[in-house]
Amino acid sequence: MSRAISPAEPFDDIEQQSGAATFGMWVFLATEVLFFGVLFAAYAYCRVQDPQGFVLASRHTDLLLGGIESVILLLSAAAAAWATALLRRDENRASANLLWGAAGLGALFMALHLYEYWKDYGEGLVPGLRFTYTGLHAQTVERFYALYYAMTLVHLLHLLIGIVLLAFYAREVRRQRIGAAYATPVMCVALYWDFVDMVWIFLFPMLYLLDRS
Amino acid sequence: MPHADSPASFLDAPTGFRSWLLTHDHKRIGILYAIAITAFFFVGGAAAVLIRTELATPQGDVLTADGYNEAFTVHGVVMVWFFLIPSIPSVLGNILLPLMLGARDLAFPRLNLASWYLYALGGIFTIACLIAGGADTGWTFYTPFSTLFSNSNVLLVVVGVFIVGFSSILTGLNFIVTIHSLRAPGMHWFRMPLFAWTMYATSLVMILATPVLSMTLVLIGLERVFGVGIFDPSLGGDPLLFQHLFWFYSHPAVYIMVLPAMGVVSEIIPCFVRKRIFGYRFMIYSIMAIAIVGFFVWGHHMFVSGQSMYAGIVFSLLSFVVAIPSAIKVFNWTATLYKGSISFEAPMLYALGFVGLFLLGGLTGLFLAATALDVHLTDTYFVVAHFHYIMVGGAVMAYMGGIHFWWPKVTGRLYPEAWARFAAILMFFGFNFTFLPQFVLGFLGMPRRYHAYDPEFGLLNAFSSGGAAVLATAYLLPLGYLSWSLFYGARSPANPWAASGLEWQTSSPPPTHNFLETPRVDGGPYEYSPSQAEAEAEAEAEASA
Amino acid sequence: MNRETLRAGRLPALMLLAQLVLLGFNLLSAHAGLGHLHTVFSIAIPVLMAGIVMIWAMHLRQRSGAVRLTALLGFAFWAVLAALTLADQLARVPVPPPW
Repeated sequence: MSRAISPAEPFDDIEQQSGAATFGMWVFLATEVLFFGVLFAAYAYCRVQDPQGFVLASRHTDLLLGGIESVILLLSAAAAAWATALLRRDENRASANLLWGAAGLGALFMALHLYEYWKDYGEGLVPGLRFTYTGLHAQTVERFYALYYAMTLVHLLHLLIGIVLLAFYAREVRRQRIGAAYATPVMCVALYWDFVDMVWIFLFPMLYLLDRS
Repeated sequence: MPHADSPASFLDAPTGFRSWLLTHDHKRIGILYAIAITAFFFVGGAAAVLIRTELATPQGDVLTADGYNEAFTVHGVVMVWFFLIPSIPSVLGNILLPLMLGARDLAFPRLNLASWYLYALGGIFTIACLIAGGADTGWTFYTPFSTLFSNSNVLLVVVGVFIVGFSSILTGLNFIVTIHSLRAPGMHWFRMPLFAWTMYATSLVMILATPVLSMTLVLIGLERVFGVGIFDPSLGGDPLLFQHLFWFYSHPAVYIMVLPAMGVVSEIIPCFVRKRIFGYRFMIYSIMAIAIVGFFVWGHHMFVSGQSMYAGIVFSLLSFVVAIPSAIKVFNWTATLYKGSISFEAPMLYALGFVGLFLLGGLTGLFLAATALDVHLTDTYFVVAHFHYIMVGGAVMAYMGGIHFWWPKVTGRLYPEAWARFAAILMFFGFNFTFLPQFVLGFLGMPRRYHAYDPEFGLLNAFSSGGAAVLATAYLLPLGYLSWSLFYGARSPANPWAASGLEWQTSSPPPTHNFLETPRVDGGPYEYSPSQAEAEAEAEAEASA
Repeated sequence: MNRETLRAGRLPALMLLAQLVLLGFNLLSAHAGLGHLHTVFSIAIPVLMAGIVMIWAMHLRQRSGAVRLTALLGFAFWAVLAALTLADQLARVPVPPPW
């Protein structure tokens, strides 16, 4: 289905618009690196202050659930990558299905993580709400969990936005309202989703994979 | 003047409240910002009036100690985030950047409108904080006072600043993409006006620094609400972590405030000297150097905080380095004046005022960059005077200069020149009477953020408060005569100053889509001297032959 | 599902495989009693994984110079924040009280 696509104001042609939109998404992702980066810097600072405390704290995270979540998110990112490749080849149906798949896997990640939060609450590991750990390095353990919640909650918020965007564009692609002629919005969402994936790629080892021997 | 077959000006069409509040036009959005920041300027100004009234006498007799803390907090928060940071970029930048580049609008017009609404929403939270009784932490929100001990409305103002931060980030994003994507045919990077370059550098700082502030504010909120121990020393946390995170943004923030001012001055001076700017390329390198090196110096706010001495040395050295590009710019503005044909219209008075006052402010910054001196001068009035010289003597005067310079372009009216010159001169004198004594007060040891002080400081303080009254009058004057000019001012031609720049080649005010046809650019900016232009054209022709 | 569809999935599948292998290494490293060496791996492996995402999923090599510079700047300025902040903390010399 080919239809002349007219650019939005103030662009002169669709290539200019596509380039600007894509560049805009990259600039936005750079701001996100610095936004999350504060938490990563604070984590590094606090960990260097008391490395033993961090190792101790990290052992109370659920490695199995965290590992499964990691695999799910990697699968989701792969699905999104496949979806964009197919979209550029005009295979809208398959692309839409994969976008739905990526969104669904993201939602599964969220559900598992919320379950982890619920478990943590039961175990008394939520600073400010219910924190009952009184063993060694208690202050550091509490600080670790404060950072854990800050980092994973901000990540989860970004994940939720990504799920909504993936679902929205899955619908648009399925209804042929977006296609190979102008795939830029979907490419931009895929870039965003890749970023969300990358944040977790760093978060998982920082929070779950300190020394476990 | 609009005639039968020319499009209506952006002010006249479309009409109606909704057409302004739902506009996509960057020029209308710039005006929306202008109205909002002017309102906030007077809120911050009212706080300044309270402060200077209190400080006119040594006794703390106007405000309580807590009340005074709230006054300087409001003053700082409002003036930094709701006036200075948005002033030139969101008003002049929004209106002028597309015009200067030959574009029809910014790259993302709806995002631009969203930025204004985010500004307004952040403003609402800050006003709510004021109404609820204010915050008393200072605009710097130092921990653990802000997170543990302050009984004031910290969360409200923190939320307000968090929201307005996104206005800044999205504006910066919009400007960067616009400059990369929407320059007119023939306008390559080294043909852009310096104002556009400063918008680019400022936007880079906005997008890289502001997100750090945003997350740091989230951490304050978390610590205050949930009592976690990231910054609290009694729980093993470190207040210096907060200071590092805060100043990583807040130092580059001062470059967000001053770079646009430098851009405005670089447009005004060539016009009223009838000569192109001296050292255009070095001006650009200096602009980019200030933006980048400005990210490496934040620890100079922390010399006495308990920061490691070695870090102090590094930050001190780098703070000296960052002064160099600024000095290059001051030399270049001055060199532009040499053998020029200088006239002293109001914009030029403001621009020259900027150069002198920025010079003083910048030099006193070097005093503070020296760690040994800073031990004595930190947290005294020397620091207060230093930053007011740059932010008020510098940035605010440049903003006023820009408002006057482009007033005919945006409104289609000429302002009354005599009143404008009078206000500029009054502002210059009022400013110096207010802040010059404060350098001396700082050296004598008067600490900042105190509502009562030793009687030995009384005379200089009284003088400073007198100066503040003059300055306040000077700020009220433009409000009066500029508003008057909107209704009764003479109508302006397209280019009343015979200035160079694409914005002057369209009507005053411009039509909604800026240009009847997209302009083609054949030469550099600042084509003021015909013989210069000819010589350049010959040189280019020879080079390509 | 035709051959063209599957061919389009080759690169994402290879990427996924590489990511899973690296994740596996990281998991093993955490349990192998390596001490500080594990800390090095737990940083290096995510960096590699992120590199795979940026090069093969986000197509960084085919992007314009402006895009690549943007990506670099994001990380570079974060590095400035983290490095100088950490350096301060590490370089602090405790000053004992005079008594």
